[in-house]
Amino acid sequence: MFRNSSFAFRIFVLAVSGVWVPGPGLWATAGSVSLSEAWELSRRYRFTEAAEAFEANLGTASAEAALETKFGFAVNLINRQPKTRANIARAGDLLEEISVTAPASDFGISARYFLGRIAHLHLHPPRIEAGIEHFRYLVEHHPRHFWGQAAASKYGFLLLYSQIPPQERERLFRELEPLAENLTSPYLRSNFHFMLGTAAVRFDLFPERALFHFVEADRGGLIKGRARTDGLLRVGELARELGEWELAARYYRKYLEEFRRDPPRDLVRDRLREVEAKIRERLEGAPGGGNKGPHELE
Amino acid sequence: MNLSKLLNMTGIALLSACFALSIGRVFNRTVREHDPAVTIIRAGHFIQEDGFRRAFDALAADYMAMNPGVIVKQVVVPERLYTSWINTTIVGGQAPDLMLHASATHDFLLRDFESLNDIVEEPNPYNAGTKLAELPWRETFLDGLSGNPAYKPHLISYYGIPITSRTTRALYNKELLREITGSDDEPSTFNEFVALCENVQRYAERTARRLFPIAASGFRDTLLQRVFSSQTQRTMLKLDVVRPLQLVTDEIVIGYLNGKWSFADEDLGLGLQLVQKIGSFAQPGFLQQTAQDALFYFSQGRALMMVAPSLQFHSIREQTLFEIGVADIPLPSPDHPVYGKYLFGRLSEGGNVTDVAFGLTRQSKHPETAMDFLHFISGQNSNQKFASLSGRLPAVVGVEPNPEMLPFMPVLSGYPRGYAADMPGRNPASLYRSNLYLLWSASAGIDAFLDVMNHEYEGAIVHEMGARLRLKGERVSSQDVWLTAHWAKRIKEFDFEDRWDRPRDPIHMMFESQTMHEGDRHWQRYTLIAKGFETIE
Repeated sequence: MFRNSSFAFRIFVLAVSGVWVPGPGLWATAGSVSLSEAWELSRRYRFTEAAEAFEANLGTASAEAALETKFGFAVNLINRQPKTRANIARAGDLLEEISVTAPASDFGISARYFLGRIAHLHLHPPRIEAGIEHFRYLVEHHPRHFWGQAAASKYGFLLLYSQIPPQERERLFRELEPLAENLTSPYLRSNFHFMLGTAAVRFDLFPERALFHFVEADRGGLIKGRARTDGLLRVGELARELGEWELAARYYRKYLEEFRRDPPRDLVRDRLREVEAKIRERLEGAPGGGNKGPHELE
Repeated sequence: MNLSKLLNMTGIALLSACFALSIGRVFNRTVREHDPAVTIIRAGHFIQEDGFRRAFDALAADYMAMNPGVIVKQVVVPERLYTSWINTTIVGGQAPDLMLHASATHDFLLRDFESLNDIVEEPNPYNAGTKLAELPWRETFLDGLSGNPAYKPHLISYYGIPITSRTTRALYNKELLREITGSDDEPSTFNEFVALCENVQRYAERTARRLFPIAASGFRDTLLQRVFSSQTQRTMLKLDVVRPLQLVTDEIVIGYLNGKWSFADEDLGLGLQLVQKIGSFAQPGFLQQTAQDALFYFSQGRALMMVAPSLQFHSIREQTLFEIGVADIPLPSPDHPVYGKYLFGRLSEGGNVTDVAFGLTRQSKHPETAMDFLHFISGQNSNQKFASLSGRLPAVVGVEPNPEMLPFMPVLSGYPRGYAADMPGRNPASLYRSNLYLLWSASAGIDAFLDVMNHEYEGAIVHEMGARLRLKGERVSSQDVWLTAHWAKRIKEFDFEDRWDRPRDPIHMMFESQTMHEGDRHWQRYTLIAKGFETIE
């Protein structure tokens, strides 16, 4: 009723109720929204409006834009509230269609990534094996594509956090490690190392390899906040436990330099004093400087 | 004209006058807002306290004097109406330019507020000539904008600029202290504090006064939680799986299922003993009472002490007629013969301390002026003026607090806090608090409390993990769409292949955040299944 009401009527309601009645702009129809605007709605987490905007373009998009429109609609449909099995199933059908029609195109590859996501994250019960297969395909067939590189960490998560015997997890861990070399993006490589290091710590696998992966994650560029504090402190702690005193000291100092107001600072200072004492002991005990850990030789 | 007709006419006249007045006000506001020569910046908040409002007005006046043609207004809404007011103004397209949004959901922030990510990396021009001149804006705050309400980690975005900080301290009724002990000195050790409380109890009995050592409340009571968690400060490290040397709620939850801690542990037993001891000094029935009830006891002179956040200090002082002493919350020290075993030392108040953060709404008609005003009020000189006038703690590095707030200043040295059984989320907290009364029941006690916890706590933890699993799943899924939207928009740029991998590209920051959340989620899911529980995702 309000949508078509006159300005005078809205002024009247405003004056009486004290609340402004929004104009027609608020109910702008989705049909007039461009693909770029629809993506902007997605970026702002307005999944329902974004899905409507993409859906409105489904029949009218040019052949070139058809894949993108269908893909945009499917991705937003997954998150549209209320989340229903029917929406997930429809999104899955659309993504399947895209990945079969144009498997090597940008949208075909990204559709495959989201098929993996649907399998392990949106279905109940989750289909972990199907998720693994989709991500494995991307890692093997599109290792340098944006979504192929993003898939590497997801693939690792699904494999390592499965309910499997410890020996099987160790084998998978070893099998995953070389994948890091295929990742051309230093940041996604850093993410992959971080995923491996974290899994190694959680499942108590190879502390030396955990240390290696956290050092590599830092080298690739742990960017900020929690990942950075965790990464720096984890290297310090693992190196201290493994007797790599110089490496531990270096990372404790790095942390103290970068995080000047964090609650663990005094604890880190205590740790630093402890490893510095060990370094002094070793230097005094071994005139040649003592043995250095593998990371300190690099 | 009979009386009835006269009354009717008067009523109609009054109604018409009110109607005309409201039309006039709306019209006047509309005209002013559309006057091209005038820029109106409105800042919405819920802080009613006079000192805060006066200080804000003083800063606004300074800004307006520097910028003729700009009018800065504060819109103060009562706290209990604030959330509905935010929703109404935003839906109505009438949101002020700047707003507090402390408890806003992430989709609300994304939809209605501007991210300040780029601007906080640049220096604040109003710090020119100070030691902060060259620093990025975020580095000029006491906590570097490390958390809520300024920074939202799961959105990897800054959404607010704070103007004050918060800490918690013990407040003493100094007159009552003198009356009971003959001295002005607050206790400086835990044993002195306990002795003082016992002294107050004896005094109350001797004088037949209804007087209690502590005014406490059962809802989010900092005192009991601090007392309990002091005993797990050292053992907190055994929960450390991926976040070394820090307390993480997820790890408390998973740690319980993995057997890393239990109510049979010695440290938790000591914590409960301390809670029992300190709680026995509080007014009867305090568990069912609110912070307002506790304040009532304190302000009426019926309790010697209460624990309160710095943000409430001034309203508490306004409601009391006696002199208030401020001191640290009394906790045991590492050299305490019984309760010192699991302590590292004093708690650090580093980390996230800033508060009252204004965000920039997407509906702002003058975003540049609104941001300039935020720069202005958070410049070192303005924050100094704000701290002096408002009596609130400063938010900016190098600003001296109002002298009476000195005891509230955050202490950056010290150690991380330990954990408590009411920390791992709503369900375990609710179970813990609803049974805490057993500690002081004559027919029950610590063993009866432990019996309930040993039978029911695991169920509450599993419930909590289910909720966390769903929440993290939703976040990861939302982040997927964000990443896809960024990618889909940017692959059309001719240099996308070269640019997406540049340092600090938002895509990487989001991937990094997602990897953290996703790892936590997989770990929780793995743990639940490994322990034989179902997951509802």
